[in-house]
Amino acid sequence: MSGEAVMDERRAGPLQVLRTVLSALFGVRHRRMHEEDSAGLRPIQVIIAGVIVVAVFVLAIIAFVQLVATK
Amino acid sequence: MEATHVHGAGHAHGDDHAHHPKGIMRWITTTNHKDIGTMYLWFSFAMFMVGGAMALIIRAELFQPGLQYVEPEFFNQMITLHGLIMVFGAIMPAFVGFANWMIPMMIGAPDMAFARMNNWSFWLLPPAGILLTASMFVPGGAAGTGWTLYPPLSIQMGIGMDMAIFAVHILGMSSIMGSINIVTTILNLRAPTMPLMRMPMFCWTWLITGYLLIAVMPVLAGAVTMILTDRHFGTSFFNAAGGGDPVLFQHIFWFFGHPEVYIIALPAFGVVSHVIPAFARKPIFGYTSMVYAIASIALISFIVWAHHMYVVGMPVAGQLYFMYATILIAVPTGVKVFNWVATMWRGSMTFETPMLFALGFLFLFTIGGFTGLVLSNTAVDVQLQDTYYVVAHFHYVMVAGALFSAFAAVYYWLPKWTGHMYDEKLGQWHFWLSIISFNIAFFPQHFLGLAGMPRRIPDYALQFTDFNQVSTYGAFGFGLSQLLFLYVVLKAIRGGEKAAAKPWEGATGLEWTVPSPAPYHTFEDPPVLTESKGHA
Repeated sequence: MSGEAVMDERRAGPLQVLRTVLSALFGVRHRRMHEEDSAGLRPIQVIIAGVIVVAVFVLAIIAFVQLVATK
Repeated sequence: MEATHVHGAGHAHGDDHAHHPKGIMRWITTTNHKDIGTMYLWFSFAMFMVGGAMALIIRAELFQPGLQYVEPEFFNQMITLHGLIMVFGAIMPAFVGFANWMIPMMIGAPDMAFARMNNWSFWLLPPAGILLTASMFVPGGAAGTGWTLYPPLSIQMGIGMDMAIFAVHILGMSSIMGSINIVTTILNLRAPTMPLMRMPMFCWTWLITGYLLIAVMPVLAGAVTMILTDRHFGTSFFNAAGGGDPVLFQHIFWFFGHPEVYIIALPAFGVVSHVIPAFARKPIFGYTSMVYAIASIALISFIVWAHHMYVVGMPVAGQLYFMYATILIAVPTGVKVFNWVATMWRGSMTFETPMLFALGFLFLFTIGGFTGLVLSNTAVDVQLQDTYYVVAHFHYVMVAGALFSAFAAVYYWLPKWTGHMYDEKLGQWHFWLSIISFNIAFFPQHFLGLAGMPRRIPDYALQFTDFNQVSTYGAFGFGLSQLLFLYVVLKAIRGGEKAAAKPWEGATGLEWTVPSPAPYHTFEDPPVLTESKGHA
């Protein structure tokens, strides 16, 4: 079991969290990267990053819409 | 889980029924997750029959143009009650029933976290079901607004509308309590050696569904309460005559309504993510990306609601935003479909009934997803809004998606529940009758919609007759096929070949380590999971 991995004190940095969330939105990633993540990520990091990324995602779509809708 | 659990499986108290009441009081007072799961499933099936009978009234009326059997007002009531009963009375309770039965056994917990609240969240359902069905017999009849309860109609209806509002309140309370229970159980009662990222996929889908429910059911309760005060206390939230805005209701309703689609779909995804690996004899492909995709789908489901209302009046920028956001939600959903296909790739597959229903789900849900993409395009949707194309689309998602997945779940877990194998031959008959009659009923509705036939109307122009007749034949076939399902389930309850603890060769997970039928109490001591590479 990954009991040792859970106890691992290494923490993931913001970039690694962002990478995880973006690959989640896309849905595909390497097994090796997942294994690195599961060692250091905490759920709260992923949830906060997920909400921020969705907010940015909404703003990006709105920006794109402004671009195409206002000539 | 490839994990072999070592000890603590349910044997300690076995079938010791001495310490709880017998007869009807057993069911009224029970706090046992298995009893409550059973009651949820039977309630759901009863509602499925009631809602199905209403569907057949609708299809009988639509067999020919003109009015044959029912008045238009009654037709509208059937449309409304069919929708409300199937969504809130049949599909949602079915998946809560599976959650009650299976989640504690999957995570090695002795019961749900709040056992008494669990009893209460079930027993709220029958009054709500009675309110909905009895509303047909009050003056003015049941609500005739469609399940979306749009004002101004919903402000004008008779007392049947109030009964529907109270029913929605009660069902919402039940759902919120149920989801709090499921979330707490999953987060707090897992066997100590089971980290979240090794949890069975069904638990993951329900964990995320639980949060969705807690987020959106209060929104619906608020919306219908505002209708109630508009009706009786002189407020004008949605009443244009008093300065209110009917379109506001549509926004609030669909802010609930779109996540609701995923509330129904996600647990169905969870079931399929168990059945396909079991019968392909391979672990699920891309467990982690599946978990992340579910979370992504859940988050994105909050930002696409107005794609249901392109035609009510919205700036072009708004239409474009909702169109782009909706199209993008197809990405994580597509990932899940590819993952299921990849799971089967080079697997040693067999096609027992659960697998057949899971494959039927996969095939037809994908069609429903694609027609959803068609409808997400604003320019196309303006043509197809409120036509039978939409009816066909969401029945591919709700029936071939959620219901077929529920059938897969019943056949997959029935040996665990009853201790008997179901009749495999009859199960396969049920599958083939269902999938063929389903497609006869709903595929022609795409053509009807493309040709412009409006939904929720009891009469239609002559050129729509042929496809409507085909659809009605299919609907009656589908309805009758479900009686076979009832027979197969009853037959398995009464007897049949004895089921092993793990009747499916490729099945994995803690629920298969306890005997079949599952003892009344399981995992009173948490199991210890040893080596685990795969996931349940």
